[in-house]
Amino acid sequence: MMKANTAAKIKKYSLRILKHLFLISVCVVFAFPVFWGIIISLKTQSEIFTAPIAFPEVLQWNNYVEAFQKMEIWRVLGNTLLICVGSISVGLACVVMVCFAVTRMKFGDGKLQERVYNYFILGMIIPNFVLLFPIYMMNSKFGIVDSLWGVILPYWGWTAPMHTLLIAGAFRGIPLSIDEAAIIDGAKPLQVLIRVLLPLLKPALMTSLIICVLGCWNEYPLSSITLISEKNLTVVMTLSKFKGQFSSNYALMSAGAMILTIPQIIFFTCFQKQIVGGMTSGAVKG
Amino acid sequence: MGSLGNNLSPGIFRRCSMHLVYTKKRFWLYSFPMIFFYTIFIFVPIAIAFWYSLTNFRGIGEYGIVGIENFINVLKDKLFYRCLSNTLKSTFVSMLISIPLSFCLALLVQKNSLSSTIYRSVLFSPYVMGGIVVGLVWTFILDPSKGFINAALTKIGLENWTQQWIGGTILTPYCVGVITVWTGTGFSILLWLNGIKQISGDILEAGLIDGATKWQQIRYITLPLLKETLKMQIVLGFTGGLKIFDIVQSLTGGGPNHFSETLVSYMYNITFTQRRFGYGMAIAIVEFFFTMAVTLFFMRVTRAEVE
Repeated sequence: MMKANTAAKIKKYSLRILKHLFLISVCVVFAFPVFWGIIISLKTQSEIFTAPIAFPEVLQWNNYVEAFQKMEIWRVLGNTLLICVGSISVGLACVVMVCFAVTRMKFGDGKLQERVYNYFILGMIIPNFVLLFPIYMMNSKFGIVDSLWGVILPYWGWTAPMHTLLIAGAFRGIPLSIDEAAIIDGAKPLQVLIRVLLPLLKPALMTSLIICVLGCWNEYPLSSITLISEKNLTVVMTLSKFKGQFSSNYALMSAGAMILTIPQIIFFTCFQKQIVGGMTSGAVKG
Repeated sequence: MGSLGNNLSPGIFRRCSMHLVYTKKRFWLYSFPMIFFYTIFIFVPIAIAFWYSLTNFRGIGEYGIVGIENFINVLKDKLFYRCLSNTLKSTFVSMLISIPLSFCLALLVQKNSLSSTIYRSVLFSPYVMGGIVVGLVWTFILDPSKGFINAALTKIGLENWTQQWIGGTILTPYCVGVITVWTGTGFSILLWLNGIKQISGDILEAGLIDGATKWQQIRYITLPLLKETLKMQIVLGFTGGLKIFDIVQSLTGGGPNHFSETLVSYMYNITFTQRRFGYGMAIAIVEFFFTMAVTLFFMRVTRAEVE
């Protein structure tokens, strides 16, 4: 009896150790590319060629200093933030308003509301790449080629499909009797929206906000055709120019990439639940 | 007043009050801004794209309408089919590895312990990196002359295993597929976990009481109940695969000689690098319909089962 018990225990523990060994090795493989980027960023240029897979002999922290100086990092970060704030604030505000209209304004037979909602959901299946050149032409008509506005404005429209779906879903989860009570108490529609409903929408708004920030932060195609001059570069555009700028100076290139990427990885990984939650409901209903 | 209020059923009273406040005018007032921006920046551009696809516009000088000539050229364009096949190669490689791998990993990290949380975060982290950085980081690994893999192979004496992982004529799309596995697996794991969470404990317990082993539980209970999640993985994998662009652009720029181009990068390079706007838009329109058809097809297939 005792023997069978210990045998079972040994089996259980060895299975558990095996599981963790497997998971750790998978994690090592997954973390390796970024880890390798860090290693390269700490080597000298000649070490990269002479001892490609060895660790650096002396850690070259001045690669970071040099990359930092070459990048004009504050302007780059500022531009990226401006684009995020400019596009998301208006975009999400419009989304909230239209979702309020569609889900809470009860009048007629409700067909109008449904049609407007469906019009937005239609956008879910439209691939963005087809819009690039037309928007480039529109930007030159509006005179906002090579200006942050050239990225911000299109995003006001691009926010609509997915986030209408998310926010409208959240609105529908709040019982209508809450607005009715507020209206009977004499609240105006805007007050109902801002004072009563918005606080209840906070989790959904957070999810939308994070997905928007992630999307804007990593946006490449539209920026690459719009933001041309040095002074307008965003984080991603700076990274995309590394190959040309540092040509074959891998050490500087990866130091720059690490400066711009590691904080971002840490920040967004903290919000993995929201990102997946939002993306999933987008995918299921779309 | 009091008696009137008492006589009316609360439902009618409420509906009346809602109707008094919300009018059509107010509805349009609230919806107009978004409808306006959405139409201007999504539907107007599509119309513009259609218009240019019928012309031979090259940015400067006069241009004329050439009708469907561009479209005929797209369908005869060998490069276009190469891009299509590259895109499909990347997509299939990524789905074939990512879906089973993420399922196994999800089963292993489903407990809510500290170690599982750490594993999940590590595996998820590549997902939040933009395609451009992903391309850069993988260049350090795949580059034929200075990258890690070839250097490591040479070091352990396997020189003849070294390959042109990127920048050659064959392997790039497959490598892009593997990179997509790297960026997407963490997300897929969390999707599976969402599905697993919805399976009620009772069913699993019933299985246990009936004497099912762990393996049988997974095979006969968990897996069949995750059909919906599996479909979602396939839809997301496929529609995402058709849009692969940033990674390739940063890895090889589509080169050499268009050998690693994907559908989107080909459209991009014809339009913005070669500045053949008319032809580029014809490619964009063809891909637009192709992508929409595939997306709608998958949605139809998955939805039919849901209802």
